[in-house]
Amino acid sequence: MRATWSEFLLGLAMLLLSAGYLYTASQIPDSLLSDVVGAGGVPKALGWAMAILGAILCTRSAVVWLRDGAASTHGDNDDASATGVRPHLLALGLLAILAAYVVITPYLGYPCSTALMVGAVARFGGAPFNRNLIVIALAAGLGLWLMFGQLLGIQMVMGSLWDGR
Amino acid sequence: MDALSQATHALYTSWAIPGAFLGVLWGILGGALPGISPSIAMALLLPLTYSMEPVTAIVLLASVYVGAEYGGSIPAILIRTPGTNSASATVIDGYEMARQGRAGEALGISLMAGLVGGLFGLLVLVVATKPLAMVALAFTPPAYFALGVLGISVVAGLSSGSLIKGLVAAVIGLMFSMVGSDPVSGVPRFTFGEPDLLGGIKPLLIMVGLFAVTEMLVQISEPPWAKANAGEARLQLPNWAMLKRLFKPTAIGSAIGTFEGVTPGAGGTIAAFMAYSEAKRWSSKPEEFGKGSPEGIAAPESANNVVTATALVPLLSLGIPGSNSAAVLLGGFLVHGLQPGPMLFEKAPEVVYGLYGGLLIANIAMVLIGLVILTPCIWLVNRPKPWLIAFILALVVSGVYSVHQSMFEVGLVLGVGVLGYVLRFCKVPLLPMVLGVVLGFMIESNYRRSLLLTGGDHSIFVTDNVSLGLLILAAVLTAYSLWREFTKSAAPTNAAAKTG
Repeated sequence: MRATWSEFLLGLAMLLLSAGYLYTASQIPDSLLSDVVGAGGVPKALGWAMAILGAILCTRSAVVWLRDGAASTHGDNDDASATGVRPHLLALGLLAILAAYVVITPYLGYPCSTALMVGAVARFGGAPFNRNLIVIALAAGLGLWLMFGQLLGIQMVMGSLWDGR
Repeated sequence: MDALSQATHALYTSWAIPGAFLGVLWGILGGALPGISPSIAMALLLPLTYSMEPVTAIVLLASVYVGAEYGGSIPAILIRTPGTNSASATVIDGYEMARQGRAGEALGISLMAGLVGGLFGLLVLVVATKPLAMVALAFTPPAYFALGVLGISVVAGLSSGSLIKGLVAAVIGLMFSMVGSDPVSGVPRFTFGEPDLLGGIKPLLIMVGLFAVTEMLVQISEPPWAKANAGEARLQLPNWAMLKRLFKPTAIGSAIGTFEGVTPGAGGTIAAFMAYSEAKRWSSKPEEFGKGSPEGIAAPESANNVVTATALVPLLSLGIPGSNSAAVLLGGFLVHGLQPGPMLFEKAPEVVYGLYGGLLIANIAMVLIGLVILTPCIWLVNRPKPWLIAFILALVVSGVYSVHQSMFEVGLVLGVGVLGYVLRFCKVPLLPMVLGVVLGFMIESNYRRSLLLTGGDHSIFVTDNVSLGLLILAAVLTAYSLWREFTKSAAPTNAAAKTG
């Protein structure tokens, strides 16, 4: 198994995560009801475990880097260099649509925002913009609302925009 | 013979048979929808059972459980989204087979393994309820802690060749399980003032984020926008040669499912992961696991379907509901004035034996309904990719929202999806993280309860016989996995040295 540059960054990220986690664990207040371990006991142990794993990842990749020289760092980004940043930008675009869905749903309501989201994701994914796209997106919003809201009896948000709030 | 005639009479003189079919259908629908757990699917029907006769009501609820546990595997295989917690192990090889155009074969294997598991579990329930109930009584907090440690010991087997990265994922999962109120003192931990986090993060939310959202983020970035890999677009049941190959993993899954089912609180998720890990360990083709192995579907599916029956052992014999679904079923008994426990077999034998018969019908119904609905399901997921991604995401956010009607949880799932995307890019295996999330609460709460019992003395974990046995088993399994990892990684080096 070959240690990689991304592995070094992963190890570094885990070290940072463990530092933040340990700090937050140390802020957990003690309770009169607490036991010998305490509310922060197990989280602290996990924080230290993560720190050790992060250190192992960093050390392992650094050792390979020093042993094989800079040549190995070119090979370690095989995946990223082959595909470039475009795939990540596409993923980011999809994420933006989903984030917008989370923001607008309380205002527009579940059926409308779901229809918008289905249409937007399909269009973003390459579906042609035509009448079919609009009809299918509207049908999806209505159909899912009927299934979850009416058949399963779950109260889906209807949107503050429509009730004047 | 008396029991058999009572079961037959109870079924024929009530609406239990149609109830079993309807229950399975409802359960499959609920199980296939991400966010609708088996217990929610059962709870939605509970008010409707008030006016029913006891046998019909109990059979209906138990059939929903059977259907939901099976239904969870359908989206797990087709769209990499486990509909239930216990279907998460099925994702690994099920989705891989679907990607290879073998969705029909994968669904056929899951259906058959589910049937075998369900029937085996029913046999265990009928024959061994009373002796197996003693297993439930033997489980004390240290034993539960050791059971959790045993579950974690399969991390090495799920780490896809990188144990350190597998451990990183498991620790992240355990960290997620720490969010919420402390199980002993109630002090909030890692909630950052957000009330929605006080109750902790449901494992299903993590799974949906890690599998479904991550996969969609990956899929959107993979042109061209052709149709998904259609392959064989209809259900394909396993042939004789395949059935012979699946015998061993199904047997392993059934044995583990029996043990986990009768243990209150253990549940189908741990059973499925352990069954997957052990099936890989004992397989003659372990290298196929993770790349679309039929055995990797049969083992977890038989395990979680065995649990649907064996989880009723502590409920029926002791009145202990070992899971949320068993608790809803207990509600069904209580609504009709029946108290599960040792006296149930004396006071209402027709209900108990009717339930046994109803479970048999439910398993048959599962196969019949599966034969009808699975081919259209495969057709659905072979639609053009942009539409497929849009509908999967709509289904996922709807299912997640429906759990607590919380947009915060939808946002949380998206965040977990991003984390999964980053981890996947760094080649960190995601399954150990799921295991950490599922087992974290069990391990911590029972570890601390054990120490509360002894005033902080750790020797309780070795003086309790069950705990000691499970810890030794965990140590043996971990050592074996590490040894195999070591020999596997040493082999290419030795080969290179020889050729060099």
